[in-house]
Amino acid sequence: MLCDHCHANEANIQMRLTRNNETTDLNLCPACAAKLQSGGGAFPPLFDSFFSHGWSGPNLIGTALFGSEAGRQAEQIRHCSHCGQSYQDFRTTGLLGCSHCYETFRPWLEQVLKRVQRDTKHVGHLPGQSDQSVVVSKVAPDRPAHCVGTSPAAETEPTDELSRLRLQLAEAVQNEDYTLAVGLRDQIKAAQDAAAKSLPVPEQEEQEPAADQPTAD
Amino acid sequence: MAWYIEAGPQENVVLSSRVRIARNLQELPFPNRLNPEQAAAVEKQIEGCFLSLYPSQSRADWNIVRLAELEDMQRLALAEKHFLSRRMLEPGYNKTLIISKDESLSMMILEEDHLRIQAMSAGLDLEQAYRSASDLTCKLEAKLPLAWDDQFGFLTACPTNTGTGLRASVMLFLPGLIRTDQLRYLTDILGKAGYAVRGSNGEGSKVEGYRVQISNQMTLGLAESEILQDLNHLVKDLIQKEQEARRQLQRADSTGLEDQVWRAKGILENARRISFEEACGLLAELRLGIGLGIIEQLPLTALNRIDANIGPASLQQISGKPLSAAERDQVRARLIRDELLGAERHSK
Repeated sequence: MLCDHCHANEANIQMRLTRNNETTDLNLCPACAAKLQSGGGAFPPLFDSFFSHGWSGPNLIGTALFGSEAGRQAEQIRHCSHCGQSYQDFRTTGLLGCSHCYETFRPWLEQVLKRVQRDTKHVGHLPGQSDQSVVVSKVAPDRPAHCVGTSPAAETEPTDELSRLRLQLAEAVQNEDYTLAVGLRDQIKAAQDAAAKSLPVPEQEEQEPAADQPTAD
Repeated sequence: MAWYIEAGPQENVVLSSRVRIARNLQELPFPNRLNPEQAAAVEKQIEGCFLSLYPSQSRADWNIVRLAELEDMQRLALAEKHFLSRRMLEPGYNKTLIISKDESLSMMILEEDHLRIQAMSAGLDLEQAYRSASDLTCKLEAKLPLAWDDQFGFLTACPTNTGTGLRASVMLFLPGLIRTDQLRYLTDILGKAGYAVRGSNGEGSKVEGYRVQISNQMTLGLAESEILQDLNHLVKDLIQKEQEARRQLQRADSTGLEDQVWRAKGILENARRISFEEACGLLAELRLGIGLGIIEQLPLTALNRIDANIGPASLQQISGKPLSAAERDQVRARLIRDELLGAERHSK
């Protein structure tokens, strides 16, 4: 999704502006979000209209990832000791400075990732897995990759079902049919649980790595 | 034949499939915070690893392209074919592209992340693209100490790529959905379902020639298989919607549609000077005409060959010299005429 303001960068921050019980949700890129938080500055049309109606600055931002209390704490407390990156740098550019930044800013990044990713726990390919564990098994071209250790039937069918349900959910939200959306959300949860139960026990190479095994080799 | 000329599955709607995997070295800062010495170390370590994987014999299947050594025109020509991202065109450090001779598999070194492995295939074939990219990724992973976290998975400069580091995308040709004004609605829905919808030149680009790129936005909390299966499933759904929209266009005014297609063909076969924008628009009409069976004697591979070569930088590279805008328009018109008439002669 593109940023509601600049329409150029990826929007990975959601901000909610609330005033007199009137709420506006915005999807913004980090740069535009930072500009908005800093009081708008030379921020043209979209936010000027907010400011002209009395909205201003960070203290009126209700819920914002980088404007949250936790985000401000991160900003005040932390610099990455390895690369010198600050949380403010991340807010401005959307980029972290090194792999250690993830450790430095972990609690705050979790909040960001909860909003922009499916989950905050990696469930995919592990470093050092053999080719066998990630190379796509021989399936028809219209049936994409799956890892060794799960049968095609076990993986494909629930995923297709989930995919369909998620699209229906998005469509329901688009149509503002929230009753249907709630029902679909429950169905997705049930389908995810059923899929998890139906998966066969992973083979050896599918196991989680030991905590002290950060990389291959 | 290069992969982007070849016919692929569902080629009437899906022009190409791409898989990109992002990885970073463990102990060095990400590219946005590297100093020149560190950048050189990244380049040396990754290229060294690549060279150790491919002894001199099999290395003949690859080209190592140091971007600093290229002319602007050569860099732009690589970008026109989507082998280089816009970020790779920005100045700085020893950015390197290692690309297979058949141009289907490549590594960008010092893009937003230290390493981006990219595989492409014709038509809807995410499986083939993923297999190529993951095979090379696994080989490199076995030798390189990579940035990894037990919770977040593979670490990337932008947290929107972390986890699998996998971005799968398809380039779609959607004249039906665009002309029946359904794309805006679908874009909203797809955005909410976790997909980015962009123009043919990636982030921030306009939709030109009815080309739309769709890619997954979420990379963490899903397995690679789920990302690929979900996108594949979605694309198949879009193919059906696109085909229905094309039938709708035909039902609404089949003569008008035929007229547009044949006029486009007429101009392309006869123009003596044509701009890139006009050519893209007319070629899109012609592609639609082939897809609907209005034009029968022309294979899509002929259009693929034209598309690959008519960008401003690609034309100058083919000509081997800088060309003015007017000269480019002239060379472009000749190239298109020759290709179309040649393909037609061949099919008779």
